[in-house]
Amino acid sequence: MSEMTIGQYYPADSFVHKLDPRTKIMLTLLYILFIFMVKSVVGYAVAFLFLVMAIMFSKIPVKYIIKGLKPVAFIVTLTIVINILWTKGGNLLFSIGFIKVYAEGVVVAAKMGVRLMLLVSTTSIMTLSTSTIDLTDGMEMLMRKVPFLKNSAHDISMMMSIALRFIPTLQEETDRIMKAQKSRGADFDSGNIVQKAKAMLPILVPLFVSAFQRAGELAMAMEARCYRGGEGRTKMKVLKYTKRDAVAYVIGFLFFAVMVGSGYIGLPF
Amino acid sequence: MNNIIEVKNLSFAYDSDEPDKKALENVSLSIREGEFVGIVGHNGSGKSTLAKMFNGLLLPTQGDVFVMGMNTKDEDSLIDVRRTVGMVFQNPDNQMVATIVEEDVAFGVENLGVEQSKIRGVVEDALRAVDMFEFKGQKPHQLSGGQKQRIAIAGIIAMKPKCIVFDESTAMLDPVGRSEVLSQMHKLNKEDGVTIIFITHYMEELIDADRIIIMNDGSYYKEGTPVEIFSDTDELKKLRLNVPETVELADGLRKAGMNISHNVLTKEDLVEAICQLK
Repeated sequence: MSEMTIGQYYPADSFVHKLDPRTKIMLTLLYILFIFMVKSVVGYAVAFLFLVMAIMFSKIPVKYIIKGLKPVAFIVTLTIVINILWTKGGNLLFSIGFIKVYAEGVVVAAKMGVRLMLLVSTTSIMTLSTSTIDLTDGMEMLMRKVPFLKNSAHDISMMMSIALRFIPTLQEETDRIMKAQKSRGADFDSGNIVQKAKAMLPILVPLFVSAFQRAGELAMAMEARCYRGGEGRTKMKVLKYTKRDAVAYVIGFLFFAVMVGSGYIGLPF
Repeated sequence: MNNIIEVKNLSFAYDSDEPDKKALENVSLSIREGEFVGIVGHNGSGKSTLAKMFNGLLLPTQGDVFVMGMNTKDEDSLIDVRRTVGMVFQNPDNQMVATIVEEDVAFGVENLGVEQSKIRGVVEDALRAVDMFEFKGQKPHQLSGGQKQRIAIAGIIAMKPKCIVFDESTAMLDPVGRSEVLSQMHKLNKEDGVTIIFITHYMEELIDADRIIIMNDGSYYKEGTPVEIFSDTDELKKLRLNVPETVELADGLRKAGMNISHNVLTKEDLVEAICQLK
């Protein structure tokens, strides 16, 4: 349960940590967008360099980033396999029965795999270097700028922060319920997948019941503290852009320009 | 003293399809400013339902509740009612909104639209008042039950209410946490003049209250000072209320023919009284 990286803050005193959350969110989104427009090997190298720099300036240990890749390993592998098998073109490398692997397929699959890993790693840096409150605040501020999200920006960010707030509480609860069921002879570890899934039912039902109860009580406590949505609400901490953010944006855009641009200037790779 | 809360002929049914199944029936009472009032009753006596009437979380089916003259049914004054009467609930986990202690304390203040530059000062004062200042950057789930409950209290005092309702706020705590919260209540009452309404089923926590109101089966049963209420232990037992050990012991000694005053409520009093016996 403790292996979850997304939404887990790694406190440190670094350039990246001190950036405004909006800057980090925007740069991450743009990075994700541009990584799919990269065409050349040089572009990928630059994208990788950006990641390395971000890691260095965030002082986050590399093992945390790698840990963040674990949950998506399956999806990455699947994507690579599908791309290898489905892409046709270039030289036929080998074939076993109906499976034919082409050179083009290997290249496309490798690109896709690298893209996904870069994307997940960069997102991990953002979530590891930003506390959940800053993250939801930043998202709220950014969503306010989007016309069709403007009115629900506060509600969405409030929902996100409450969800994040209750993750540890519900983890404890799951633990407790599992122990209670085990003490009555429940068996979660043996049997095939279907049996294991069935064994989860006695955990999920009480967990949901208690989650609903908690939600009801929390709503009442929020009302008692004069909550009435985002209108008329002030904030203790207000996000402020600093020079640091300008520097980050400039560096970010330079990298993005090279990442995408390198595909159009006739480089050999 | 002025009445801060006035309840007039209040009846309430949770289910509007079954208006005869009343959680509260024809309750009238008033709470004076600066008082420490305990409200007791066994499970299902309507005490928690009554508590939620004091700040308009629930509205009467019949009758009215007035907070400083404002009717809780009046939607325009609902926010003023809620900033006058704050509320601390039973489960400390289910009333925390934010992931950081100081952010949680700020929640109510932010809702009131207090000027941004003033919020931090108010929040830090509230945290100091409950002796939790050094925990301001921590995550709530790392704290003990008593500490979490004190954070919840800080979140309420930051809004500067005139009255705070504690709805069984000690029920889920260990003895240490319970005494922390209880002494916090008395401190607020004595030092800041905050009216305290304490809903509980632990009678021993009300020994120092100014007044105890007993609820029974959704109705007002009786009220009195702790000495008056505890003087009839048989009646309390009949109402399925637990009698504090010392009171019970004093009562037993009295029945055995020893001369012990009805004023004896605490362990210290009892020791003193027994030493005086000849």
